[in-house]
Amino acid sequence: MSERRVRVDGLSFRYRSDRKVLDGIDFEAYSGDVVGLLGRNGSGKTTLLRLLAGLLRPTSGTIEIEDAPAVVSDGTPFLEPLSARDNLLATLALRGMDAEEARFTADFYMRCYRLSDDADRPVEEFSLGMRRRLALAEGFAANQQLILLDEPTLGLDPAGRDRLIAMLSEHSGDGLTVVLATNDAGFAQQVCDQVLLLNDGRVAARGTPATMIAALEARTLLEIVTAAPPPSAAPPDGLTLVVRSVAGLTLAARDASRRLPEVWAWLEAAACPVREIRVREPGLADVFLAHTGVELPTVPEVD
Amino acid sequence: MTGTIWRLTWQIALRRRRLLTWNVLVPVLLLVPVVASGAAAAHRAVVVAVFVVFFGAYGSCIPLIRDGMSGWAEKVLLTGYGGRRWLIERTLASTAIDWMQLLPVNLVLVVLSDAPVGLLPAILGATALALLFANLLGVAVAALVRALGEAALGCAVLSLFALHAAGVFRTPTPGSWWVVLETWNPLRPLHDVWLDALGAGSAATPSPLFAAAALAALLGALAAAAPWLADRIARSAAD
Repeated sequence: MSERRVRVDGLSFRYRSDRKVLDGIDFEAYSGDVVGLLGRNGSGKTTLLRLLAGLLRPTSGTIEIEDAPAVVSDGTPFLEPLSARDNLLATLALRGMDAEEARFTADFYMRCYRLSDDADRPVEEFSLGMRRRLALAEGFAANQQLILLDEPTLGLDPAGRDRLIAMLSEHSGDGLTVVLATNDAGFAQQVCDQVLLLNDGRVAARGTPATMIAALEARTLLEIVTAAPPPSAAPPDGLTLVVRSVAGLTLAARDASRRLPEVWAWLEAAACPVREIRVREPGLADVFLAHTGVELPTVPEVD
Repeated sequence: MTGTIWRLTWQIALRRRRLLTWNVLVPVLLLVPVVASGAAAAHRAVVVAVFVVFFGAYGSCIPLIRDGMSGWAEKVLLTGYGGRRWLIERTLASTAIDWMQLLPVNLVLVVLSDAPVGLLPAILGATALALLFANLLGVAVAALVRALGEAALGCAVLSLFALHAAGVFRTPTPGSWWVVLETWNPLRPLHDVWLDALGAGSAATPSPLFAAAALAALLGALAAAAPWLADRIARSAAD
């Protein structure tokens, strides 16, 4: 039976400036759960992780956590003049791991995160992507029951992202509880069992990615990239405008692909040149947009 | 594992070779011309004492502020290592490194000043006491300020006040409470030993055991307040 690792009840937090950052947050996470906090920058995700780590105290509400978590933050600090291996060994020694076990664990996680070739280089020579990989290696090597990950995909290349997804799947299978904050909807959709959509410090919606996507009225989406600002007139009947920008628009319908000729005619009538039309299924980013009215940013890849 | 922070502090100091070289050379370049000059012995002794205290206080405070700002302090606390162990090991290691870095200048100054070689152990011992006290001042300042500029100001003010309270800048009226303060001040032995070495010593100097006892009490106070101090330093990243 799953064991409860995190319980958050009526959590609110405000900074000294009196700005309310989080308001009425509730959720629970059990062993093996991967819980995603999905939101834009400034929505309160990192603050919630800092509260869970015990680095901030709630203004009201309660947090119950079974064990001290491992934390991988955005911009994890390192001992810059020391090598990646020495940094990893230092963190494990600080956690009380004996030297032999620490060496074995460090080598294992450096291999997992493709750091073995650079293990003896000082961290001050590392790129952003390598730092992120080292931070993740440190987090998982800590071998805690709960890990908090802040923007874990930031700075990872596609291979690093895939590796992280595989690691999360493997570790959650072993009972590790993961709470991660991200604005990468695709990543959250792939790895999370439960997602909380955070907007302005409140939970706008929650559930499993599959149920939230299934609950959307739109079954297909038409993403249209235009060479001129798209028409401001209402789209043809049966199609819903999801979002409009200067570079294009997205329309939703139960079966949008069948409506292509109609859409094409509508754009031609408005003398709007089309560059590209994509038909796709909705994802968690569309769920976020539907619930909050705002789009998630495109996630940059750096390495 | 006990001693991890002590080991890491040494490891980092020895890895930063350029900084290590500067920390050995700068004291020599600054103090040798002063001690070799024709200035009054009392003034030369003041310069040595001020330099040693600033060296210890800044060397302790600024890296701690950086640890707070970078999130390293927070990271250490999150591992469960504990603020007490972190600050005590860090302070002791930083003091030992400062002492090692000042060893060459101490040897050069003893030779230059024609001081009896027998005074060398007293100079090295008094330097250790002064550096430990200065490092403790640095920790206190790091916990109270939020920026490097404030840290520089805080270290200067506290160090100068502590030196004043050690009788480095003046001779107090006999029987006043300043005399009591001076007797227990961990910076007093350093000033006295350099006055001796430079030929301006007086016979009526208190035993350094008073200073050592006061320092032991201050270390105890650090141990007691360390969780709070460490928390303050770590939280500077969030402020």
